[in-house]
Amino acid sequence: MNFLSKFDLHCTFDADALAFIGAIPICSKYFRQVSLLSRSDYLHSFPSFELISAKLHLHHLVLFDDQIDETEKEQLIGTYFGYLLGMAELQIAKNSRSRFSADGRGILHHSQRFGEEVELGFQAYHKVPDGRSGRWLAARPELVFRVEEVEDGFSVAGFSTRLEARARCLSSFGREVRAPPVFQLHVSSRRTWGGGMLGLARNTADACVLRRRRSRAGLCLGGVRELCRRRRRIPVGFFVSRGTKRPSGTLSLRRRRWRWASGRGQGRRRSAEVEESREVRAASKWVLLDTRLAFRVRGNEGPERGNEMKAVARSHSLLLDHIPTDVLAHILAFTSPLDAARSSAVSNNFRRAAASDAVWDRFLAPDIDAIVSRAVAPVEFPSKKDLFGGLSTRPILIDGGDAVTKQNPSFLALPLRFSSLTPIVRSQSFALERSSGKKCLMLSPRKLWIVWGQDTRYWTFTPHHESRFGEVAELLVVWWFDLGGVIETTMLSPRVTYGAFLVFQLTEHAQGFSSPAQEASVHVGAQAAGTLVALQLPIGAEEVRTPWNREDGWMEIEMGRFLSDHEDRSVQVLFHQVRVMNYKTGLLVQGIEFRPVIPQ
Amino acid sequence: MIKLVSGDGAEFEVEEEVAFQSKIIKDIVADADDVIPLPTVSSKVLIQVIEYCRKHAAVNSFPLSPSSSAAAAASSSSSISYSKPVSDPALRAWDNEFVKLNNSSLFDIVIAANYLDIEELVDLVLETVADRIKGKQAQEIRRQFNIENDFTPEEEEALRRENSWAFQNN
Repeated sequence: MNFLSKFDLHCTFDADALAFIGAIPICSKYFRQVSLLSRSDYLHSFPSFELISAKLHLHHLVLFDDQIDETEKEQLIGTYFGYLLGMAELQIAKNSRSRFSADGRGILHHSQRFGEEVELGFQAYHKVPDGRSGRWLAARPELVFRVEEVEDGFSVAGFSTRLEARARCLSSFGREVRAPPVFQLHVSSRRTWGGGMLGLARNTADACVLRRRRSRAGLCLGGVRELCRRRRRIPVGFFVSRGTKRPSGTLSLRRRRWRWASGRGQGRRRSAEVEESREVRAASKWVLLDTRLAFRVRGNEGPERGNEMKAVARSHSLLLDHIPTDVLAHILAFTSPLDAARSSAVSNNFRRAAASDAVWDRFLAPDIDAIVSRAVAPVEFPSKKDLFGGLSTRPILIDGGDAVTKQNPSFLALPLRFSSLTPIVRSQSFALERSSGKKCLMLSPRKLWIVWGQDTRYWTFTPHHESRFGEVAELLVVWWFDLGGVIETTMLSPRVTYGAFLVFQLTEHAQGFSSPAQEASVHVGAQAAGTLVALQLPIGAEEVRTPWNREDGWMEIEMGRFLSDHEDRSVQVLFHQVRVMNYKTGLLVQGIEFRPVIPQ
Repeated sequence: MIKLVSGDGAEFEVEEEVAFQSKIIKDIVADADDVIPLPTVSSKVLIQVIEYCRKHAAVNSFPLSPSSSAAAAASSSSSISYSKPVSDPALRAWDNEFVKLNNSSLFDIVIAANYLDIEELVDLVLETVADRIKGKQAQEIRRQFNIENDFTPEEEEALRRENSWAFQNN
C-alpha cells in the first residue's frame, strides 16, 4: 500500500477523516457528540509512516452537524488530511503538500489545495499534559515528531524549524476532546501561505497591537503602535488591573509579520498575524515573548487610577544588548581596533566589552610581549587596551643599548665622539597602526646603511630633539648618495602590504635633490621594484614621486611597497643617486619607516 | 546513541560522534547515563545545533594529525582561544549558508553553543556577528541590533572625545 492510496482511502471515508478532526478543538463546534467507534488492530503490522496513518483509524468519531455545508466539509477534511499527509511527509521526507511549522512544541499542519494560496485559520492548544511521553524522532534535522499514547487515545506532535512560524499548536486526538488538554498559552493565528515553500522569513516590520481585553486580573485597554525597525522602543499600551494585590493582567499581542515567500525566481510578500496572550505581572525586567519581541510591564500605583500598569514592547532583536559582556568582547575581538573603538559608544555593555583585555589582546600581535621586553625604556600599562593605545600613539624604542662599539670592533675606528661617551645605539622604533593593529617599524639612522656614513666630512649623526631616536643622520655634502635599510619580515605583521618611507627634513641650504631624480627600490628576494623619486621639487617633465608632509612635522617619501609573508626573509630598501655626481647637501634623515598601506 | 532532552522536553537521539562535538556532552557521557537534559536549550535551537554537529562530525571524522592537534593545544593558551579556521572549502561554504540567519536566531545559537561548549560553532557565529558590526558607526549598530543607548549625552561625548580618532570621517 503506497502513500497516495492511503490518502485516497481516507478521503473516501468521512468518518475516518473526522476521527482525526474530532480531536482538534476548533472543529468541535461541528460535532454533536464524540464517541469511539472502533479500534483498529492493524496498527502493529505497518511499519514506519503507515503506522501513523493506521493510528488515525483508531477512533471513529461522530459526524458533524447539518449546518456545515459540503464545501466546508471538504475543506475541513482536506485540511486535516493535509495534516495526515504532513505526518507522512515527516516520515517519507517528500511531498510539499503540507507545511510544518512550530516553535518546538507542536505541529502546524495542513495542506490546502496544492499550489494555491490559501488562508488558514486555526486555533489550537499548547502544552500537552505531562503524561507518559513518547519519544521524539527526527525524521530530518528540521522535522521532528512524536506520537504519544495518552489515556484514551493518541496525541501527535511535530515541529519543524525550517519555517519560521510563530504560531504554536498541539494537536491531539482521541477522547481527549471532551476535556481539552491542559494549557496555558492560547494562540490563534491566521496565516497565508503561498504555493512555494516558505524560505526563511525575512522580517521587515512588526506591528504590535495591544487589544482591549477583559481578563481575570483586570481590564486591558489597548493602544496600537507600529513597531518597526527604525524605532527602538514603542509603548504599546497599558492596562489597569483592579482588586489584586500585585498588579497583573493578561497582555495580548497580535503581531503582523511580513514575510517573503520565495516562489520561483522572485520573492512574494505575505503577511501573517499572530496573536499571543501572556499573563504578566508588573516587573522591571524585559520578558521575552519570543526572540524578536519583548515587553516590560511597569506598575504605577496611583490612588485614583488603581494599579495601573504600563506595558512597553520592543521589537526585533535583543542581541548584543543582553548578551554577556564577555561574549560581546569575543565578538569584538573578531573586528578591528577601529570597530572596537567606535562601538564603545554604542552602549555601556559595549563600552565594557570594548575595554576588556580579551579584545585588545587579540589585536596585539602574538609576539607583543617579546617585542615590548626589548624596549629601551620599560613599557608598562595597566591594561591591554592602554598598551595598544600607547603603542599606537607613541612609538617605543626597541633594541637599544647594544652599543655598536661593543658589538662591532670595526667601529672602534670611528671618531671619538661617537665611540666613547655617547652610547651609540642601533635601535628601531616600534608602533602599532591604530585602526588595524598592524606593526609599524622605523629603522634608526644608525641601523641604516649609508655610504660615506662613517666619514664625518660627508655625513654626521646630530642630536635632534624632534627625532624619536634623539638624533638624525645629517648629510653635510656628498656626490655619491646611497643609503638603504634591511628589515626581516618576521618583525612585521604577516600578510600585510607594507610601504617603506624615508622620513626626512631638508635644511634651508638643501640642494641637489630636485634633478636629476633619485632612485628608490625595494628588493624582496630576487625581485626588485624601483621608482624615480625627488626629495625637492623636480625640474622638468620627468615623472617622479614627490614627498609629502607628515603629521609630526617631518616629511616622507614612499620608497616602495611589498607584501610581508610568513616566511623569514629580509627586505632591502635602497635610496640612491649615483648616476650623476651632482653636489648634494642639507638632508636630515630620521629613519626609514615600514607601515601598512592600503593596496590600491 | 545518545539522547538529548531539550528545555521543552523534546528528546533527540543522535549518534555519539555527533553529540561529542560538544565537549560538555562528552564530559557528561563519561560519567553518566545516555540521557542528557539540556534545560537551557530550546528544541528549535537544539535542532540547528545538531544539524551543524552532524555536518561537522561527518567532515571531522578523519583523525587529526599530531602536529595540528599540538598546534591547537598551543594556541589555546591565550585568554580567548580560537578554533582553527575551517579548511575544507565545501564545509566553509556550508557554514556560510548555515549562519545566514537573523540576529536573534544567531543569538540563540551562540548561547546554546556556548553552553554546550562547541568552540567552532561559537566562533563561527560570533564571527558572523562581528562581520555585521564591522565598518559601522555606533548609531548604525544600535539600529541594526536594536540596542538602547544607555549613555547620558555627557558620557557619550566624553567617550567620543577619548576615542576621537575612531570617530573622524563620520
